[in-house]
Amino acid sequence: MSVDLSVRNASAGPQRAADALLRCLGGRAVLLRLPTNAVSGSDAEQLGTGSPSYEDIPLSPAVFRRLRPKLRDGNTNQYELLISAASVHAQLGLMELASTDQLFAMATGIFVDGELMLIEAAAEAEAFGCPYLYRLILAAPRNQTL
Amino acid sequence: MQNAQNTFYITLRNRLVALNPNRTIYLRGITRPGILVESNEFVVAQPPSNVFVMRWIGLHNDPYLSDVLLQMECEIAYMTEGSTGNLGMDRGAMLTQMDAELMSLLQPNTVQKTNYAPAPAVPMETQIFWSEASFQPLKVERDRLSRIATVSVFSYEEPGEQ
Repeated sequence: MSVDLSVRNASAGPQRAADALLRCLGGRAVLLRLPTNAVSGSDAEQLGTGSPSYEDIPLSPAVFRRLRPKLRDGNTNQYELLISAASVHAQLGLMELASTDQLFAMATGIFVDGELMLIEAAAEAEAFGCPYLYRLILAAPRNQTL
Repeated sequence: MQNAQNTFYITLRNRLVALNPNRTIYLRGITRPGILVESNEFVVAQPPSNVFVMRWIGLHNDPYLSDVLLQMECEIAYMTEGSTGNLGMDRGAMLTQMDAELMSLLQPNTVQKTNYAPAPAVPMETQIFWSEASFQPLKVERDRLSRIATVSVFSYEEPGEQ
């Protein structure tokens, strides 16, 4: 069994190509909603009586589309969001986070067209070990009638 | 009713801090004891591992008693994938540890009801008490082991209490 140890330099080429494709497909901006830090040692926060604040982080270009619905009772609509990796990585640097998993785990959802959607899954597409696109599966809130 | 639920949660949380201070969760930028009430937190796709997640699922009121005695069913869910250092092969032991911790947290099974709305919290006239935990069979989802325990919490409603 051989191991491929050849050096492959990561370049911004795939990211630029992905950004161009996202813009061609109607690239838009979405907001990643992040709660601000809770108050340490506060019983009110843990008992659900605190008033959490949040900040919205803009991400673009992104493409948002509805997935084919599964026709089962109780299912909420699911959506797919393709986001530019360059945009996500810029926020990682600003927030001093180690990974995008951490960023998406911290988020309470993605704000799209006035609706807060829950992040159900996140995956990345990469070339030469460098992500160029993030794909998120979003769920619509239960009270949304689409 | 809300006072009883809050008292039950705070009691278990404080006992967990004394029993196993290393069981913590990093949530919304702070590290706190590893027990939470699911409905008091942001909605997440799946519950966190290695912590106790409480849900209030049932409510019963006996109309034949002179005082209003509420029986509230509390579901306590916990799950683990083991530790990455042991490649998850300690997940059974870690779940067993959580079983034992939960049994310890629930003893003694009575405490003074407290109103946590004002600061500082105000002790109330009555006590809340609860049953032994009823443990459901282990559930296996790939590398994740989970269990749900159910406890009945009883509380007398005091005058003026909501």
